[in-house]
Amino acid sequence: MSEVQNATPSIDFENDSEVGLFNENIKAASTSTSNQLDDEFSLSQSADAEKQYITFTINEEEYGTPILTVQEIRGWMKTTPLPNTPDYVRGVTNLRGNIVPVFDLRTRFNGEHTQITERHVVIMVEIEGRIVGLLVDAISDILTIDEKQIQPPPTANLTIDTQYLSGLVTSGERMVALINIDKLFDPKILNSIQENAA
Amino acid sequence: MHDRFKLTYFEECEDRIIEAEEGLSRMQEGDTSSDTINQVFRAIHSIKGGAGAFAFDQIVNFSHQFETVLDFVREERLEPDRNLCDLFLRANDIVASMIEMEKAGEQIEQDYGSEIRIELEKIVQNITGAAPKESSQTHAESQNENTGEQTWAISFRPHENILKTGNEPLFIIQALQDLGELTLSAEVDNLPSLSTLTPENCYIGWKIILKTSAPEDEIREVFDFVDDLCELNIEAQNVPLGNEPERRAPTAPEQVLKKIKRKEDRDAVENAVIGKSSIRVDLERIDQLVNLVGEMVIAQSMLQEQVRWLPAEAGGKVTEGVENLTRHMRDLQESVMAVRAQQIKSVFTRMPRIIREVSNACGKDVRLTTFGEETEVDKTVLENLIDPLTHMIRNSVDHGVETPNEREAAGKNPYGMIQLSARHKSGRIIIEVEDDGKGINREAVLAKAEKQGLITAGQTLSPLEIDNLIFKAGFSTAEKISEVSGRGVGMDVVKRNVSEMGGRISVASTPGKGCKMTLSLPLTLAVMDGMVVSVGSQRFVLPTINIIESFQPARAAIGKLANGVNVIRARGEYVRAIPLFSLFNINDAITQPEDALFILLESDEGDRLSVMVDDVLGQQQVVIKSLETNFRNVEGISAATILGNGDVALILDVPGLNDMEAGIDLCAETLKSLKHIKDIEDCQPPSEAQNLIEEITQNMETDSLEQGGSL
Repeated sequence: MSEVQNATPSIDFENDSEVGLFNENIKAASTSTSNQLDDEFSLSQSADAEKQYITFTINEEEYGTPILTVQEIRGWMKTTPLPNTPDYVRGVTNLRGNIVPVFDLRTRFNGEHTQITERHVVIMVEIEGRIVGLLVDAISDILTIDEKQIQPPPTANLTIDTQYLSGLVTSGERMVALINIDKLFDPKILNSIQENAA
Repeated sequence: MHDRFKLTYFEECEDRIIEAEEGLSRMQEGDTSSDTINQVFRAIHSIKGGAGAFAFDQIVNFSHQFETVLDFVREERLEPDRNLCDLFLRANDIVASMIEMEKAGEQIEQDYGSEIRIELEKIVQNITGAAPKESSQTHAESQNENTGEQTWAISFRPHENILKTGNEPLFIIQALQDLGELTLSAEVDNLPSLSTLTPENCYIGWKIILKTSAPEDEIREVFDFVDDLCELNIEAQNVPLGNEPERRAPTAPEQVLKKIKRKEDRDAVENAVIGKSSIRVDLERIDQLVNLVGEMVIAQSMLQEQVRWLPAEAGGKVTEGVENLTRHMRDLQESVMAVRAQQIKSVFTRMPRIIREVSNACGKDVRLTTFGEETEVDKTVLENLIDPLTHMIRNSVDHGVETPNEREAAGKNPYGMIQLSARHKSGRIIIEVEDDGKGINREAVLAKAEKQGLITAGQTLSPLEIDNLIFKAGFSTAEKISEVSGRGVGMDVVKRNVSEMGGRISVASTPGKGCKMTLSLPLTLAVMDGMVVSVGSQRFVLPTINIIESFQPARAAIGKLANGVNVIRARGEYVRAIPLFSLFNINDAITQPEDALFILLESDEGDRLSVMVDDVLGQQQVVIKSLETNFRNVEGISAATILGNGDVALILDVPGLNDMEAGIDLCAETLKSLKHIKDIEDCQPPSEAQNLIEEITQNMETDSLEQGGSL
């Protein structure tokens, strides 16, 4: 980590906010097990208003989340069910000694339960200091998106509530819905959902 | 860089504040030995010194005033009576709050703590007989003490690295300026050429001519924190007008001697404070160590599990090795926990302040005595202890202790006593809060509990049971919500907090004599002994401390109460039977009670209950991992742990289980296969059934003995 920092001393004088972002990248990369992601991060420093997103699919729909929130991506792991929790909570799993909840995004979006196969992956994301796993069908891409390309979400066009969407972008022929995970699993909203269910 | 120093300063301040508070409490109890007074003085002095270095002017000004008065006590010019000690304690609180505010980056109001400061100023005024300086700025007393001005020649040559230590020569010069009239000239002869200049070094020295009435000590005090970071020479230029022998300029050798002596003094003082040699370690590093040891406990339990399957001829040596490892792991884990263990003193010392605040607010006079302050407990437990204990103390002062008038009417001392004690008992820490107040008003408690529907009218309860009603949710006996303890949280919240830590709390009161609350907590929140049980394909962990025995129920042992709660007869009494499979919706578990295993548990409150599981898999040490770190609390589950095979198992929250609805009727389940149901509430058992029960109970007891033995 320190090596990388030493290698790019010039960045300190160019743009302060960039440095912060860059260090965040390093931090995220250092906790990640993927070396490939590490390379991606190193390249990303030239991007200005551009942000990188990891996109993934659920059914036919493609969603994106900022790469900086992603800690790591894993294949499906055995989870221990948590009793009396909402349907979308698949349980907790052991992420190198941390107890991490795994949420089924499909259930969260449209109520269906994911039939798990070997192909399914869990994206470990950090939301306000908490690490949670998101069960999705597959990872599809890493996109570099210019902020200007992001359109506001249309109202009630998708299977998820628009307040969890931060915007829409097109990538080639595909439409990618950028989701706001912070809102999706906001403890307050979580609690209210739980209360409603109860 | 600067922030790091600040952080260290704040950390040290916390310790200093505690030292001062401790010393002051001792003074209040009549200990006026110079050691105690010095301890307080030193603490406040170092807070002031550090605050000066960071330009926390408010803290400097206030603590200076405080220090001045303390100095009078030190010089025996002032008698530290109770009132004065009270004032000191309040002043100490102000300093503590100011530090808190600085730490939080808040702006301290200009007149913050001015009441206390005015009182302190008055004392200074009385002693010195001079009018206090209007602004009550730094070094007010110096000018009061001596009107004779003197000129000092000070040569101040900081070492090059002075800036790296967080000291700022400018502040020192400013502090000198506060003492009197200053003529300053910089000495730049050490300044290197620009190419070799390091901007972080200080190359400049100063020659200072200071006209002041302050004594030499006070001038030297300004340089206290840079003493060994500079070459300092202070010489008097003319004989002071006051012409006191002490104020005479010391001759050179004398000066050197004095300096050496000062250094020795300080070293002696530092040694005295530290006592045993110790180091300050970042808590994070210790936490990491604790976590690592936790991982090793998991790895070791995995190993242990694997060894069991080895054939005897191959396994012998390995098993022995693993057993050795297990023993060492336990030692290692205990040693590591001991590193994080702290004396409960740090929590206890907060309490006098709470008592002062509360007793002032409700016009009571309460004194605190503490025992067992050196009892050690894990830091995590300690942190979680502060809130419940604070609440218990508030409660004792607010509801327990009477007003001085009431007390005198009852023939007691006008001041109430609260005794706070801590001790170790069988792997737990026991904390007791005992007051000599009026005790719990049982009639009021009963009436209230009935009104709240917590108990049914006419229910007979033992006095102890009535007392403990105060921990029930939604209960608060205070007629009106008082400012002090009625902040919407009652003793039920205390109990919840305590239960979450795996602790228990109980109260025993003697009307008119007082009330004693007992808190029992595990020594650590990191590991515990647990029993792993299976329900279907899932594994759960029951805290061993809650387990009484496990047994297979006899056929007729299960009954049902009118409200639908299943009960089971165990050890001659009916206890609630909770089928975990239905509570947690596990569909591949044993549903027939007679095929399953029941575990008799005693919750932390002493309630007994039993849970139905498929099987008991074994006992092991488990590492407690909070679910709340990444998720939230789950009803009936206190935490999670990682088993030897890497799977996550949930640790059951025994008191929490008791609050949950089971959702299934075990009797009906039994009926399906047995056609045998006994409703103990609805029908009187015929004599035949009675005989059956007795027979079964006997069977069951032998059963349970066997079961118990196998664990």
